[in-house]
Amino acid sequence: MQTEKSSLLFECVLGASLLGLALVHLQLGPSETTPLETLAYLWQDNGSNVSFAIRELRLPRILCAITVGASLALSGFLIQVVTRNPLGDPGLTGVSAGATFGVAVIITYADPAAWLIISAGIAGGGLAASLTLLLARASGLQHIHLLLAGLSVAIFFMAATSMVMVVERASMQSLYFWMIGGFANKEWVEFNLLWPVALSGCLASFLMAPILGLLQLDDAVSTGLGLQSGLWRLTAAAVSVVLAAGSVAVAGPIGFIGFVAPHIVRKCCRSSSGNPVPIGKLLILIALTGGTLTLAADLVSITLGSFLHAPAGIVVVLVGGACFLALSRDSVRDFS
Amino acid sequence: MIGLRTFLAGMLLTTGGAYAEEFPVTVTDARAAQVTIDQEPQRVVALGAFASDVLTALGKEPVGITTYEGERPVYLGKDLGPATDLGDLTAPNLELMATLNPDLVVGMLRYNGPYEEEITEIADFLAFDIGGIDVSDKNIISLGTALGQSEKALKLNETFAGLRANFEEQTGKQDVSYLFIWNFYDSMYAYQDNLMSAELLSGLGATNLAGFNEDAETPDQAVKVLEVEDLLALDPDVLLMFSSHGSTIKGSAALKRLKAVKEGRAFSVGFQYSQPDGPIAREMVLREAASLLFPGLFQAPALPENARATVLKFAD
Repeated sequence: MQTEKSSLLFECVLGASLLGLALVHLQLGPSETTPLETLAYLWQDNGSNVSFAIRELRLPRILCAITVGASLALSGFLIQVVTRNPLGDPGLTGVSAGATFGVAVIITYADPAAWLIISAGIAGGGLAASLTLLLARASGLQHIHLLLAGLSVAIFFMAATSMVMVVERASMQSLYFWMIGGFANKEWVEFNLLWPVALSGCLASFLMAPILGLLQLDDAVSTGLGLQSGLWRLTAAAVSVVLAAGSVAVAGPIGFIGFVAPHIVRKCCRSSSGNPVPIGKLLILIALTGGTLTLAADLVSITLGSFLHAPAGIVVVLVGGACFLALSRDSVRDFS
Repeated sequence: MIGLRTFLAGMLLTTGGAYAEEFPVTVTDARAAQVTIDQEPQRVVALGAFASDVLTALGKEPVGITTYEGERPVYLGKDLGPATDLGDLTAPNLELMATLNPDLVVGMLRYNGPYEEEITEIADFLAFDIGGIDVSDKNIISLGTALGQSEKALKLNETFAGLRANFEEQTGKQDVSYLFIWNFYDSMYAYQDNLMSAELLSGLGATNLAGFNEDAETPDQAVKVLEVEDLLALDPDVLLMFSSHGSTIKGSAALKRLKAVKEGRAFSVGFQYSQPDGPIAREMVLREAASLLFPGLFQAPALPENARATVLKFAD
């Protein structure tokens, strides 16, 4: 009963925050509008630049932020389950470093059309994560081996990115904004490439929900229940990679969302008796939390933008880093 | 094909011949260091486009040069000579530089200042800052003096000042707005009037919609980060873009709505706009920008093909 009450309150706050932030975000720009005007422009295009900005620039940017946040949050949760590591983050699989390498190669050597950049990011992230999984597979995806393999692969791809930049004498400034991560100038072209990847990953996560619950148990217990835990860990890790690679390819490596969002949900929806939230509902709440946090970070970056030029990635790292320090000790204890 | 020689010939006709300098000469550079040069430098290393530009304008070939974003100062063409490539402007290969046995190294304080001691071990070192037209004038005189051609350097400045005055007189104060943007794919930085390219354009009477940055402590801080919506709201009459690494600009629907794009007044400009401090670069910028901003008043100048502005193209 206690769980339901705290969960309901959290859901209401989360839903209201997401809608409120989206509405405020829609109004902010060089041409500010009232909430009613914004909704009117959203409903009907009157051909003006303001209407165009709201429908073609601000709306896809908001949708990109929510989708990327939700994807990274789900991806982080999957990694935490697969590695049984409460400090798990999609970056641990090397996916962010791989995606960065893919994007660096394509914008250095080719004409960077949006679809090509995103495809290269997904391919790079997928390649890096595949290497990680391949290296860790020999040990049955034991979390310590997965962490070490992910770290090695990430270091390799970071070095490869640096090599591309040095060999081609690419200016750091050229990749600066992308490498920090953010949503400036994201339009429908990016969202249209992102949503199918994100939707596929989300659906796969929800279909695996019962299995994810069992994977959190000890391997001996889950195997006793007839679960092929090794195979399912690999599947969950692959879904996590798809979600993270798509996000990184669009927005750059935005850190900490994958770590922070699952912990916020666990903390806010826990009852005094310690009963867990049903896993399907947990997934929805984690995705919504990730989307809300990322949208809030982008809103802060816009608000500070006129004098700080701080992309969302910096805001997330500043806030997420503090959360990481605060949550890490409790999380390790709670998860064990 | 019209090349740099034609452009240089025009410059030299108005600046006259060379003048001999008595050595030793003492020059004060941007570090406020007084550097005494005992003999006329014969083997000069140019770290940065400014030094390469001044040397070319004064008829000297550097023995070593640096690149910017992997490119030599392409607007100088073959007149730069077969100088050894020492690597990127920000991190030249000092060991390779030492093998060239230079007697003078000319660099940029911002990039080369941190290892001035190492450079000084190799040769006399002069470091300059980037800035506006005044700083450019001052630096040209200093370097010209160090090279034994102070009077010719002075003449270059006088000729350029005369050219600017003449152009400004012809344009008057006209109602033409512009933005000059450094871009890479979808990242855009608008140059403010503290920076020389923008100062030259605004001096012609056009209005820079990025304005002047009162808070910038150094000119290189005077850039405004733009998003496409900012650009749409500003909607300049003329848009000039320097694409880093020659990259294609993202085909944003917002950019295609711009007045400048619709009217064919959005241009991709050459290397010299991003490094305009030298006498050749700044004159190229002034002459070409005048023709782009005020096509009814000025004709496009004769520039080397790889330095000429072209109509802006977007990625798919």
